[in-house]
Amino acid sequence: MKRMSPWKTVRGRLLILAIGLEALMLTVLIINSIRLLHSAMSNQVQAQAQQFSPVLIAALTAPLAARDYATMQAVVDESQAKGSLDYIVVVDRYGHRLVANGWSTDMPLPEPSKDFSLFENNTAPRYDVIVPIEFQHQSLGELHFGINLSQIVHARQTLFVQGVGIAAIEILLSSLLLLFLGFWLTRHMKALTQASLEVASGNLSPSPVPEGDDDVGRLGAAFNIMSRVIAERVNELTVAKETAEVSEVQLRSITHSANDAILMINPLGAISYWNPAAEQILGYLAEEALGQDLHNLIVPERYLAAYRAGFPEFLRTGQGNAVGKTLELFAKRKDNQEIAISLSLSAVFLYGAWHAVGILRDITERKQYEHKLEQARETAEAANLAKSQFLANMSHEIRTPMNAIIGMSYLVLQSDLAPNQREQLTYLHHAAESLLAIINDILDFSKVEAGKMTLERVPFVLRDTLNECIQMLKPTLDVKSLEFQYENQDAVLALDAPLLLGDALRLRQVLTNLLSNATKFTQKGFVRFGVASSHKENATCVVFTIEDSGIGMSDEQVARLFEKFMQADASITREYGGTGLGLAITGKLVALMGGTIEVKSQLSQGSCFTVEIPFARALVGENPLRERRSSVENFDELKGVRVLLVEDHPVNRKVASNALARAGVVVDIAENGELAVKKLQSLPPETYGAVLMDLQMPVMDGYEATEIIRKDRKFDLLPIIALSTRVMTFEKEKCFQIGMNGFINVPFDPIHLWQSLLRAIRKNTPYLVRNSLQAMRQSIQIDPEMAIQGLHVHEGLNTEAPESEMKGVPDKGLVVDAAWLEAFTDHLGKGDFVAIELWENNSHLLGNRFSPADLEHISKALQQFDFTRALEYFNTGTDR
Amino acid sequence: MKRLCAVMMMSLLLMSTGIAAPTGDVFVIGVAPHTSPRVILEMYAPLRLYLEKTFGVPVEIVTAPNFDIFAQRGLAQEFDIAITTGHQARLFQKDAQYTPLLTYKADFKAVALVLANGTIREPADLKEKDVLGLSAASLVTLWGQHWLADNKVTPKSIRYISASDSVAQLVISGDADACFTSLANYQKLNPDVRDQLRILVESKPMAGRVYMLNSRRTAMQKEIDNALWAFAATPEAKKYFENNKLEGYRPLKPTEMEDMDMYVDETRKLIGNVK
Repeated sequence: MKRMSPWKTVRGRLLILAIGLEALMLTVLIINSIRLLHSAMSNQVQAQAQQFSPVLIAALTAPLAARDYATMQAVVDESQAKGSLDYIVVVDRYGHRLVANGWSTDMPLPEPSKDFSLFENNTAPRYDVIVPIEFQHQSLGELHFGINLSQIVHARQTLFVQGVGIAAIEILLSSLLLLFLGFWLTRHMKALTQASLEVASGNLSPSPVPEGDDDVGRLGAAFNIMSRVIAERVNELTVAKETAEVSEVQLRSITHSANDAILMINPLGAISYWNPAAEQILGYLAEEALGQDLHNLIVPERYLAAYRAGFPEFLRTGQGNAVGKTLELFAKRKDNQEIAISLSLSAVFLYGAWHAVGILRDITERKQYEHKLEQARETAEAANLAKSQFLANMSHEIRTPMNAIIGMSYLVLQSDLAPNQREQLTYLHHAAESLLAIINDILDFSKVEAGKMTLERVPFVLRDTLNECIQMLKPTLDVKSLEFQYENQDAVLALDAPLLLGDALRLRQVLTNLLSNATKFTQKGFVRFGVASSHKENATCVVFTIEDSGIGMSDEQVARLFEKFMQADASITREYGGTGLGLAITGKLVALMGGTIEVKSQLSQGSCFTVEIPFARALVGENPLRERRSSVENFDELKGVRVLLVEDHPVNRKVASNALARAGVVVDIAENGELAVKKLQSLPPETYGAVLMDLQMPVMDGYEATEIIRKDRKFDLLPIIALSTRVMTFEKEKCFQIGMNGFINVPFDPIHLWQSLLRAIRKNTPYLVRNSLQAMRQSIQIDPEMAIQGLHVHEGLNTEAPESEMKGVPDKGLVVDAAWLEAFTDHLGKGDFVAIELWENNSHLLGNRFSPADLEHISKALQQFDFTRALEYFNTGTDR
Repeated sequence: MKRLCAVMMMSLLLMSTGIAAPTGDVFVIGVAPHTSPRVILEMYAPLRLYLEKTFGVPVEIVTAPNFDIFAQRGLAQEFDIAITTGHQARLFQKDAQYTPLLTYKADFKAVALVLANGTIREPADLKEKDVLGLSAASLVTLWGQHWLADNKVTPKSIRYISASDSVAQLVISGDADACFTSLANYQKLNPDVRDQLRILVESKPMAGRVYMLNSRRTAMQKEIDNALWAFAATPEAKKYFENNKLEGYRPLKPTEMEDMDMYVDETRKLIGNVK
């Protein structure tokens, strides 16, 4: 530390100041003392003179008047002898010296002293006085005398010298004391200074300075405490600063490296932050943008009104329509080009006001991509639609003649034929069926490949589905004398097993394919079909095992087994035929169902296919479908049922008519949708038990006709079943959407047709009621003796309330009372399929309780098996 | 030129009023030291002021330490007017050519004072006594000495004190048995002092204080005389006369001065002994 000049140190300044002040005060003291002395002495001398004067005058008056010079002299001598007077001279009125003492007669008398001064340099300081001697107004003369001031001057000098001496000693002693005190003080201050400099230079833990109980010691103690606390605070601040710096660097890195524009506006709407990405995206450099009004800078004119309306509210609350949201807008670049942006706006509260932070992304390119994607999607959808249309058309074009071949051949086979005719026709029929199967496979595979294959998810009875598979297999088994082992003891096949949700048709297709293959490729031995299941919460995992003792396959063959168009090898194709699509389709279907398929095989030993598929369990109580299905086998109910067949193709029309006629159904024909509509509108709504509607027809197709029919509320319960070669899922979905109640593929199985028709008719309550009443009126005679007490037949008939055919099901709803509502609500709450039946049979009687919209909502919900939503709509309508 | 005209005008003015300005700067009036100089100055202050005003020149009242010195100074022509006792006045007249102007109406008598309750009743009682007198040359002292001689009394001592009030105090204090002073002085004593004293003997009226005009002022005698008589008519003079029991001025009687001849020689001798 550089040595400071003494006058720059506290000690030096203190010393100089103290000494200077002291010297000044002492000087003032001395001067004042001398002044006071002078004044006092002056007063004293003057008083002395005034004392002397009257005395001398009194003493001299008489001798002066008497010209008694001796006496005068004596008086003068005596007075001067006292020592305080330098001289005394008495002059007469004429100025003649009469007597004198102490003054030479040849010396002129001094003038009287005007001022009293102690500072005269002469060796005989004197105060000269002249006093006139008068008595009784008679001037007798003058008295001249001089007061010796030597003593006073000496006293003054002595006082001055002593005063100066004392002052000098005092200053010296004070200086010494101050020096010592300063040294003592600054010694500590030096240590403090040194320690402070150490702290300033970065050493936050300097050597402790001396402490003590006095002021300086306490200062030292306080300094030590302060330095310690400073060290701690600095450490904390350093850590915080480092953290903040890291955060700052990170933040800056983030904002600077971000591809999105990050900007901030202050409460004035001016830009306060503008990152490099903002420069690039919007074209304004940071220095151009900062401070500018953001909205005037980049917001297109059409958005400004909304901003101006909302900005004040934002400033007040930090809220706004765009705050906290990501919006797609447009922004204006520096070159006035508008770009599409994605803007995420947020509000931050800084420095007592709301600021807005925006993250802006140029989505122009994305929008262009989206547009292109949209166009591509539209193109793909169009292509997809075209594909679907093509497949549908192909399906229709292929199925229509196939329907004619299969249907007609079937019909012919039902007639009396010669054996050879029967044999030939049987071959023809089987060939047609085989061809149809192949066509179905091809269409299915095409659907799978095109991603058009969708699986249904409806409740089905697994045991029934498996039985159907086995039934189809039995003829082949019987022919080949193969042992069929069916392991069907698993609980999933029990009578009271819950329904599973899935696509029964496709499951049957998979199992049929595997069982058929097992049967086809086994010449002797057995075919074993095993079913096992495991249950989880609401799912059942079913494992199907199809094992045979057939020709088996090699590992290489197994590896290529599920490839399309691949059989084990070409020899298999030659020997056993087949398109090679079956397993490919099977594999796809199993995968779509969420399952797995595995193959184990050994050449000449046989193969074992294991299919594991998870099924969700349908929430059901009793299983009315089981009972109903069992009841649908009785097709006598179709006898006399009147059906309207809407079909334009004569062959299909004939096939269907013949199939219906065999069941005793009375068929009315309409060759297109328009004719069908006219016919229905011309007749009472309960004329027909059902309508079988082709979809693709000239003049008016089946879709349009169905929509027209459904618009008329009186036909709400008239079943309309699609009868079409169009098998695409979307076509089926469209059918249901427009209000059709069922779909029958063409070519169809007559039994399937009858089953579907029967199910549909059973829902046509008005038709049933009307026809039942007529039959009852025609056949029933009321026997009073047979009357059952309480049963009022005519009254019951007049009320058109036929009994329910279903066991365990409440009255279908001829009377919608509290019991019905309670039962329906209960089944609906359980997700019970009974609720669907109850609704289908009785919803038409709920018009006074529910609005048409509610009825429609409930119906649609139940169609989708959404029992929860159906219950909500039902409760809402009930409450209303 | 202007100054000469002023002097001439002044002279004409004074001449028209009948008053001639005395020559010289100061008009000195010497008064015999019959009492202390202070008393003398005080007594004659009115006269001084009047004459000063009348003549327009400074007027000085002077005295002397004692009668002898006063006589010497008078004979030395130091006074324009000498006011002294008859015997010195005669001496001034005979030896120094002073002209007598006037005197006081009040008789000047000398008295011998003793303690009022003292034992001295007769002149003979003063035998071997201490007697005081004013100055040896004073008239009252000379008379007293003549009285003693006439009564054939030889005092123990005769001392000469200059101030009459002092001699009275000395008698009262016992420092002396008797003193010779003037009746006027006796009468001027404080009553409490006077009551303690008794007049042993009183002389015949003598020429008291006579106003003697120096021959150098003869030209102004008439004016001075007029001024004195004019002063006597002033209230100040009346008061002066009353305070000092002087009753006023009177002209001198025809032989009043000559009657002092008996004392002149002694006075002359005494003055001659005074150095």
